[in-house]
Amino acid sequence: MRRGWHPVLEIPAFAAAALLCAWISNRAAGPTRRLSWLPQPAVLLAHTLAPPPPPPAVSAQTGTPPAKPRPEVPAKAKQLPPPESVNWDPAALLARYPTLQGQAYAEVDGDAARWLQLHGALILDARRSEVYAAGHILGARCLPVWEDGLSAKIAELQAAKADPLLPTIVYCAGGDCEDSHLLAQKLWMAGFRNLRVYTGGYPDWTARGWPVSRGEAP
Amino acid sequence: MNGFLAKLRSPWGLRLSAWLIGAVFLAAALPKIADPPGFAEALHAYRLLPDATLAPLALALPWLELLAALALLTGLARRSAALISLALLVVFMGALAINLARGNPVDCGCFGASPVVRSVAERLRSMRLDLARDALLTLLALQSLFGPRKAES
Repeated sequence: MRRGWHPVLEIPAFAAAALLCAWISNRAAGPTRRLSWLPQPAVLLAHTLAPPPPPPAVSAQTGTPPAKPRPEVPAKAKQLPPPESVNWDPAALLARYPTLQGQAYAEVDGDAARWLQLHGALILDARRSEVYAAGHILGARCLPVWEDGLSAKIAELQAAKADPLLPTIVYCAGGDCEDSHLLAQKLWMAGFRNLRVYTGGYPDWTARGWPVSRGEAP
Repeated sequence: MNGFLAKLRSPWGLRLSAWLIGAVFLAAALPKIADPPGFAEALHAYRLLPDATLAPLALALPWLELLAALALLTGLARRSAALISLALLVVFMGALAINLARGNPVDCGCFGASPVVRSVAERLRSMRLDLARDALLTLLALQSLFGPRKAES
């Protein structure tokens, strides 16, 4: 039989072999190099953690401190253990950055991010794990939005008693990096209602000489 | 010129072009296979695909590139591999051209995620170079596809 060309057989064979190899290699890959074949169902923090957000004392659009008295912080507003230098003040956090209404997240600049850090707000790093290990904002937790296991990490926040109604900073590499916005959308679906995207991100933070940390610990 | 064309259509000319495409596809596939999340992120930046398709594509596409590269390098199922690489190149060029037209400066992601953050101008210029390289490879793939069959020569 003459050697011929059988694209109808060969091309599906290529595709099938590629899928098989991809499946095997994805099974063998480490957690930071793995992907889920199918979209992951959104983790829902809100239904197990917090009741619906109370109406904020001030308009959600203003980022300035309100003249009104500070809204009372619910008793369950116990947060992750903040770093030593941090003045943990949930009442101040909530007074200056009330729970957002009608928007998934708001963008903040470096000064706001620094103020929030100093008052013990939760900080989440959306970049890749290895980039996080090379340097991140002091106290930030690693939630790489592109890596598998994001849902598990969001669930860990719940276990760590993160309050989805307190201001939470999300950042990535600045510039036109979209990872922080993507992570903010996912966190909003998980029940977070006070997300602040730090648009300047890590480059802005380091340029201002604010404290960073290296390695896998926050 | 005719002599050059004849050389291109000779078995060695065909082999050489198949090896060139194969080598480029091999170099492109390996870093992406090593880091699917990085490739998914690069695909997302192109703003062409629905989110649910990003992960399967980021997992499978580099392997398709690798298998096509191996086939081109070994000569096994050479034409089918040439057809696959041609189709992939056309798709890549389309994706790059659309984003150039949009003025959306993507990181090519062709050879894995870019290790450094580059400026908008740098990325747009590199997209044009990527497009030119893909056009050249497309010509080579066409030659591999429509060149004389090894069995007949």
